[in-house]
Amino acid sequence: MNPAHLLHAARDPLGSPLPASIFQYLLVATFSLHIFFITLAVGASFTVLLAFWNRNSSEHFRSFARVCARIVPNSIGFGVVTGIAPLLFVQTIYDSAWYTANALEGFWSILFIFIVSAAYSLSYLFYLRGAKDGKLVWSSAISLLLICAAGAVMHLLSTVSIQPQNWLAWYRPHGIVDTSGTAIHAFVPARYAFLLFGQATISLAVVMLLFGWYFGRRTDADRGFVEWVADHGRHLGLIATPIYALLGLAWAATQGIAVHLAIPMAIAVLLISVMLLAIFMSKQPIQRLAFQALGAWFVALLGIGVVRETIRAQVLGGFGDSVATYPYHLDWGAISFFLVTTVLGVTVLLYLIRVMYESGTSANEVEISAGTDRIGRLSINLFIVWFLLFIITAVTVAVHGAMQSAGP
Amino acid sequence: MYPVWEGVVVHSAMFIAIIASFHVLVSHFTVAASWFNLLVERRAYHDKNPGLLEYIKKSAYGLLVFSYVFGALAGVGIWFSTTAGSPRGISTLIHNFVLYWGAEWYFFLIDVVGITAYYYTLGRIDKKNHLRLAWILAFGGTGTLAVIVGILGFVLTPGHWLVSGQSLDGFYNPSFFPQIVMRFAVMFGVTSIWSIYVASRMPANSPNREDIVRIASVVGLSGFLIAFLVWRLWYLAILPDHARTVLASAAIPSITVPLIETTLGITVLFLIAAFANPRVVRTDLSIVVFIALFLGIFGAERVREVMRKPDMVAGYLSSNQLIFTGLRAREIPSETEPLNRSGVIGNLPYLMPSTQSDPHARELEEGHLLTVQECASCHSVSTQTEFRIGDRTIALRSLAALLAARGRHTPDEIAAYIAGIGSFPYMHAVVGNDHDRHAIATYLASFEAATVGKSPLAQLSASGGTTR
Repeated sequence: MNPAHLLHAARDPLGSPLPASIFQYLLVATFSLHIFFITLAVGASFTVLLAFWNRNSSEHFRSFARVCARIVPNSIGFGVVTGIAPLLFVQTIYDSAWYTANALEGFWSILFIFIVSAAYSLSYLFYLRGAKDGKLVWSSAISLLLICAAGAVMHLLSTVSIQPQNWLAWYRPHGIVDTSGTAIHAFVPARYAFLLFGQATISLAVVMLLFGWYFGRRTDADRGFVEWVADHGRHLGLIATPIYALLGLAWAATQGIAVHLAIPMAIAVLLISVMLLAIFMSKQPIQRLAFQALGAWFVALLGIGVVRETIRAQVLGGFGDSVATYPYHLDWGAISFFLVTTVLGVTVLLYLIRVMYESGTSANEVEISAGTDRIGRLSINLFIVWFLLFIITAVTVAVHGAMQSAGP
Repeated sequence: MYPVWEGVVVHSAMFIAIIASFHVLVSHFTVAASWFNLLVERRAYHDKNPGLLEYIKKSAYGLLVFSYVFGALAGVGIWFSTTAGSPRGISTLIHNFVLYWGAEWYFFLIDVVGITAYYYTLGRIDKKNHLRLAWILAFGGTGTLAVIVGILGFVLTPGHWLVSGQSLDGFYNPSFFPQIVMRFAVMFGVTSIWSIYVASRMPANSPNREDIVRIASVVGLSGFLIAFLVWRLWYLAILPDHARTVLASAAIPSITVPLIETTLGITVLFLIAAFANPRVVRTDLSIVVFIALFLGIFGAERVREVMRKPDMVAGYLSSNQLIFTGLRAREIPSETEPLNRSGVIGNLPYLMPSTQSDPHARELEEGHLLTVQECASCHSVSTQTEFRIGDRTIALRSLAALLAARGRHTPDEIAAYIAGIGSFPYMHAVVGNDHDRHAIATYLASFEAATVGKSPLAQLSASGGTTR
């Protein structure tokens, strides 16, 4: 039984409801959003520890650490929710690889959710009980360790999923079947360090610039503190980018060489690093710089997402498991359902984000703008339309199914 | 076909069940809590009673910190646990419903961003827009319910999908309508305990505390009553005959129904007492009732799972992760028919023949592989998924214990027994040929001997040569 046969035999015979390449794009795009929040949680956690473990840290540093203490649980929460979409798409088009990895590493796969739950709880504990004066900093430290452990589990699953040549031997080492899923079969330290820690510092730097932009417009904000955060964000970006580049090159020099993608990976990392350095070195006012940094960072996250995807495609493609050949069966019912909900979802999310944005522009009660109010009205109307369509479709399908079952 | 993850100490199926029950508890009270909050906030503005907003603040905070995130986490946990424990089951659902889940993802995002906006903007934006946020949360939560019920119902009653292969037919399946009404009603029952818990944390002298407890009690009792009526009069009526047979069989553990009845009884009594005298409500009591509800939901979800045995997707995919009935509309053939002719060993990717030279050792190794593949999704088939509490061994329907209880000890006795299990309503026949069945029997005899110690093979097993 060769790896190509293992991959082919495990593909779900139902196929994909859309050409698999569409899911591949969605996978990369949604993963980029997800990893932004996760790396932000890591970066913010580090800040909390640095500020509260160092007795000589400045008051501004401690104030920003309090902001970070609030960012950490929120980022974990958003990271979990945004992680659902790439989890859906990877199962759809890489089912053979993903499910095998989860079965081989079942213990860690199950443990993942308990680890994340504990990390979230401890980060909230610190935010509620410790952020004011730095007590309970141990809870923040353990939370950070657990976030890193959760990242390690995801890394483990991804790495095992692209080694089909070893699956049989891992399942039956010396002929004895191992159904415990406890062995750690594969780990690439450079990849793990780059994706988690290399990206964490930049995510934090970008958010510091955004903080400087957003609160810089508030008349009631402490200007000195806001400027301190923005300046340190820029400096952090300048220091972190070369480290990011080095870790990326280490990744290219290890896994990149193993999968024959070292040079393209190195070029991608260097190009991204140059772009980031140019942004962080720019002397533009914070109002422009923050958005440029955010835009550039999402381009970078997408670029790294493409690199990850290219590695997977290269390795699995070598065994004949290509997204291009993944069978699909256009499912118009499901496609319509998704598209209609997309219209609703995007509109409602736009309204929610605008409400949050506007409410934070002043310390006092804020009058929501007429434009946002209109989007809000539209959101409610779209919800009503969505539920009506949902019920009409349900009745139509049920009646049609009953008539078909009854026969002529 | 995939490798099998049995579980460690706790059986993989129990991991799934525990995580899923927690998810059901949290997601149910979250959805209805958004409607309850909407009701209270409207009342606060209508009655010009800002004191009620104190409840909103506390409830929204609890939902923000605890339920939305833990609900999402447990939802992701179900994915990971089913992926590890039942990969082909979740694969069937994903490949049918990925775009429905994708649609549900928007509702998740709306929920999580919405509760953040709802909590942080209370008192910071105008009433009209804040009330609109409450509507969005209520609609968004109900959207998640609407989507997941279609997928949950599919596994038990795939309906016309078995003929057409179209996802819409599977989604709007025969149990869709009763289940959505029933779950929506149950949600108000569950959320009433949440609301009472939140109210119990308001100051004892708050004039609104008793009001909220009374409203929550009425809402909760109504929810449970409606859910019960839908269950008895509608849901049971549309269940396939097979599910009704399994429901009345030994497949449902004897403790399950009393557990559900007792925990539901405790909850209803608590709600009646809270309505009659809101002052009896205490935070610790609410938490105890929450725990009782968790146990009740655990029992109810187990019943729902067991009702579709021996299938993962009724009429299509069996618990041993094999497609036993093809889907002609999608040109998917049965996987079990050729395996019954040619045997399983050597014909499935992770079930290659043993390379042992000793025939007995070879049969044991292959038997172990086959048993893991065919039986492990519902049974403990090794000591890896057992643990002890005092003198009791806790396992999931351990095959060693079941065979010992039926007086089947030798490979021949066990082979004769498993040849007939297809006649049980909750079991399919063992897949494979005579060689496969005998190998399974040989392994099970060894497992029984090693675990229960009543077989002539016990000594051989104890010597360490039989469990390979």
